[in-house]
Amino acid sequence: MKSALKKSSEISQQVYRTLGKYLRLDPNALHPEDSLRDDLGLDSLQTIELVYEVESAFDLQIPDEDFGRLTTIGEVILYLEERTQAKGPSLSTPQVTPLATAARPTPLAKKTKRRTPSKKSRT
Amino acid sequence: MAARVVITGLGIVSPIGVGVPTFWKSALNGKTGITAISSFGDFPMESYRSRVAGQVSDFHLPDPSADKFSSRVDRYAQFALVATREAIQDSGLDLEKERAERIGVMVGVGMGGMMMGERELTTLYQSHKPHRVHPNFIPTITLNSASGILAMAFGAKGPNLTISTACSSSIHSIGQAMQAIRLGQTDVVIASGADASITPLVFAGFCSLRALSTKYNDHPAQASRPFDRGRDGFVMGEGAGTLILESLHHAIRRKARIYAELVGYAATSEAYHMVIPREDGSDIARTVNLALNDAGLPPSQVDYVNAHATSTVVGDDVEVKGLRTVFGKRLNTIMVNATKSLIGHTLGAAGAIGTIVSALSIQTGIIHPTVNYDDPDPHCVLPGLSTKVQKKPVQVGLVNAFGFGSNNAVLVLKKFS
Repeated sequence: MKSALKKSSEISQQVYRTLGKYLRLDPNALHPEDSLRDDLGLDSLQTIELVYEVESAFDLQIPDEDFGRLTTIGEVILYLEERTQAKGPSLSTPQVTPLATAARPTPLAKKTKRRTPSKKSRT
Repeated sequence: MAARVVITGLGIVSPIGVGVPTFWKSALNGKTGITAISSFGDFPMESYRSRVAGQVSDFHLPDPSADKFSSRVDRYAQFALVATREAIQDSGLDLEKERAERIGVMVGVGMGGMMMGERELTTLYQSHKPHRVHPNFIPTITLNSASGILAMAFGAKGPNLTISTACSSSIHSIGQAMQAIRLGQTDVVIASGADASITPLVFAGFCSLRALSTKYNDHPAQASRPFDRGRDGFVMGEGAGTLILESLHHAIRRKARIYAELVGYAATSEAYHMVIPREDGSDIARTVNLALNDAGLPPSQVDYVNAHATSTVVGDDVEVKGLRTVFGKRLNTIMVNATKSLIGHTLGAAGAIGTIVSALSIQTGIIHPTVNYDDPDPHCVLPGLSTKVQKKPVQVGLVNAFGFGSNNAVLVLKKFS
């Protein structure tokens, strides 16, 4: 496991840690291709909460237009890599590596839905 | 037999006018009250994702010597006081001749006294001096401060309730007022809804919820666009609306002018999610059908809907699904408008303002335009919704309101005859 952690960037490690804490899951069980909605089963409010945790961890604000495009863990990591690179010195080279060492079979049925998770509220 | 209930007085405080004549003129002209928020005091606006709102700009407190209550309550209750004073004057009720025990007050409130709440919280956390918290803090933030102050201001000693169901609050306050009159518990009810929570904390909370429009910060007038393809969230508003409801018997006895009859009400829960509506609209359809059953009217008689229509992506879509389930293709012939396109979402006041709009449309046969419906969302095609004023008699109208907490409410109004 330690070697896997080393392989991933600092940013992805922090994302996995933040997500694992929020989801109460072992970060090793999370993978970059996981869809926040379809694989992790988050509804729109939970997705907003999770991204809020990421914003707090990285001390930045993710605008609505960007938030709507973040549908997988890998997209969140890539986005943060880009944002932190654009902001200043890079924390690491951009890469999306799962914490788990074993490669995960690509889920066939779970790739169909990619719905924008924002603005679902009834209000 | 249950007493019939009629609407005999209206009063309003809104981002497009204080007072019904000003509001109605603005609404018919399609005037929008959505503007950029200039500041939240020391808080930098650029750190807020959304920077637009429907604020009441021309509100002036009555002279405290003339109104000893208004200076001691939060902004939302001041709005309720001013709207109610207008509604009572409009109704022609002579309160000195009425039996105080037979006048009730029912107020819908979403957020309540957040202005003072936030101020006092800041005072305590910054000073660390509990004795610096204002003595009027608790009476002000208590959710029934508005209904209490209205009773005192107008001497109403009947049932006095505050209903808080987020955005549907004041449909319930009007609906419960109607039930109290039907049951003979009271003759007259001051039925109101009020909110004024465009405050640093509440606004930040709605921003964090990603519920507000953010794409139109530089074009505030375009931000609230119910049913349009380009909508991206609701716009916060503030205001109050008050209706005087009374039994038909009481209204006729004093020869009151009647705007409309209140004939149906339904309250349901989706038991589904705190902020997301059930996506097939089935519970909205169920609520509309229950309200029509309560009114003893078939869907075929409805010719107008004042939609909840907050301008959120899913909310508007689901409302149309619900309406289509009830009305089928006939929905294409029903006039629909979205008051929030003009004033934003006034939360606890929204249902009362929608009901005032419906009563005025029934009385005048004029439907105010819905602005920014420029590029209809294919899921929200409503041929009966227009960006221009529509003139056509209205016999039966619905008012919809759906709130956080899986809460739905619908009222049915009918032309009085």
